[in-house]
Amino acid sequence: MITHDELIKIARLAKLSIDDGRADALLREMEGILSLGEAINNVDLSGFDCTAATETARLREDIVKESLPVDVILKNAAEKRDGYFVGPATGGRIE
Amino acid sequence: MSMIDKLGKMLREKKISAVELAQLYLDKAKKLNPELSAYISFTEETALKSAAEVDEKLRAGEALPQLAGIPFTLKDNIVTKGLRTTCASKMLENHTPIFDASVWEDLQNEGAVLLGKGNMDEFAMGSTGETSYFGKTLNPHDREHVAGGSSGGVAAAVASGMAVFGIGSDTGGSIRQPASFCGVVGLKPTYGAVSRNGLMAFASSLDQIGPIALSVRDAAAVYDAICKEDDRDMTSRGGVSVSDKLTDNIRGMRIGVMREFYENLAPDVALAMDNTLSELTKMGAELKEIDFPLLRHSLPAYYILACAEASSNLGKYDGLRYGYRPQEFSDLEDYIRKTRSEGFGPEVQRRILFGTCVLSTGYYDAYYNKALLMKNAISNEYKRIFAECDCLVTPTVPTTALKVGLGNTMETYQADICTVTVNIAGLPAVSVPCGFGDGGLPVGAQLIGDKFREDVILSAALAFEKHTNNAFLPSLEPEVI
Repeated sequence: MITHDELIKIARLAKLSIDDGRADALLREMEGILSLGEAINNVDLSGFDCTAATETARLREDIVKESLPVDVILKNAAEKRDGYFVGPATGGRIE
Repeated sequence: MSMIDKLGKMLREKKISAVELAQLYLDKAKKLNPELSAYISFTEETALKSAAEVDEKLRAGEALPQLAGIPFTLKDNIVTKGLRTTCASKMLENHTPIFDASVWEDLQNEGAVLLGKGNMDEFAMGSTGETSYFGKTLNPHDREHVAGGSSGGVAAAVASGMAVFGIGSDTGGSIRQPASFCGVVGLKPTYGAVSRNGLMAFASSLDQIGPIALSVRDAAAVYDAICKEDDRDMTSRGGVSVSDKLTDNIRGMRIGVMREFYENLAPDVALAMDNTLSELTKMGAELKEIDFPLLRHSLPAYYILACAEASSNLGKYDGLRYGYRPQEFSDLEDYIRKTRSEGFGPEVQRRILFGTCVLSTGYYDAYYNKALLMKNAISNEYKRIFAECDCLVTPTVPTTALKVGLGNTMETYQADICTVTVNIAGLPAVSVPCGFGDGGLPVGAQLIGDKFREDVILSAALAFEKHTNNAFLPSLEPEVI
């Protein structure tokens, strides 16, 4: 059972805010899926690996290739300066 | 003859030019889009430029690939250099990618004509096509019903003649389910068969790109053009082209029927599936009853894994480098929180929260690790099944298209029961129209194959299409034919 305090902690980890009006509904929905997941505990899963790796994963040759130019990388930046992204001024801007 | 073959023949015989064909489809798409919301944006300039290049080559007498001059749509989570790609989210409302996805490169090399970017559930999260920031996609068969999701815009566009084919992505059924709801063919290829380079990631261990088309032959032609090995996707192995291997003779084919997939079906879907099994038997297929007791665990395993991966993949949207930015904030923490809370819609936030939960202390071992074990158990179970069968047949969805407005709830999550298991095991599956339910809404049958055996499932689907005289396919003939 997820508590309200746990939900607030999870939201903080996920960098999302939850207003009180949504909290109860979210708790119910998350509980709904978790309760379905609990049934997995009744299945004997010994003998299986706990890995997300797939047999199709493969590595390419370690060869240096040309990267995208900086001005292209910065194309979608809201603000840029001297080849860098400019982030929000949160502690006073240094000019 | 398939639509792609018909139009290709007309282009080669100069009965119509590629530019005229593109304009015809653009006009129709623009006329229907205000009603159906199948497209987020049109790429008219790109379309007419590609079409003109095809015409130039035709005039020069060059032999062209099969898809040259054929108008299509790409789901809006597949990046297109210089062409806005939004993932149907406020977060990326004005995002213009700086490189091309590998599938889009492949289709440009074919000379296919991109009409526009298909509407979808935001970040591919949803089964109804209703979570898009740009409006919900409606079903061409009945506007009071959804087109499905998350590739709902692509399926609706193909089903209504707004594109000849489309490219979608499928994490838990997002190609097959809207194809079933809209009465078209949707192929989810084997994990690794088609490069995901340039697909905005939802759940990387499950995501796969594939075609939505008007017939099995068309889906096979598109698959052949995109199943290429690509070193920009570490899971890519490339697929095996299928068009020249398809057969409509399935006499003796061993087709598994898993009882668990036929429980809790809507009566109209159950009837259509009874007829489908009966037709497959008449064609000489050998139906084998198979048990699949793990099926009921595939849905929670899927949601745990998909949401966990989504919470990680979507962590990069912090407003610092690109995407939505809040106007007012107190500090960096508040800036990032507001970026995400204002930029993501409710369904995306719900899944990120759930994913963060199952990856957090106290839940990781109890849920995430158990889901991983279950994933491997399900994959193992399929290995056993494919030692006995050539392919499996199931309904694609337990119902026909849902009514608009039901939203994404536990009920809609549970409707994914037949499709998610395929992604968990990395298998190929195709949804093929197999009947009509109440109100004339389409029903889809799903054929599931062993890894890299797209040829087997598409042959079974082709045989079914032929045996039923294409009775369940859209009868869309553009005015030019």
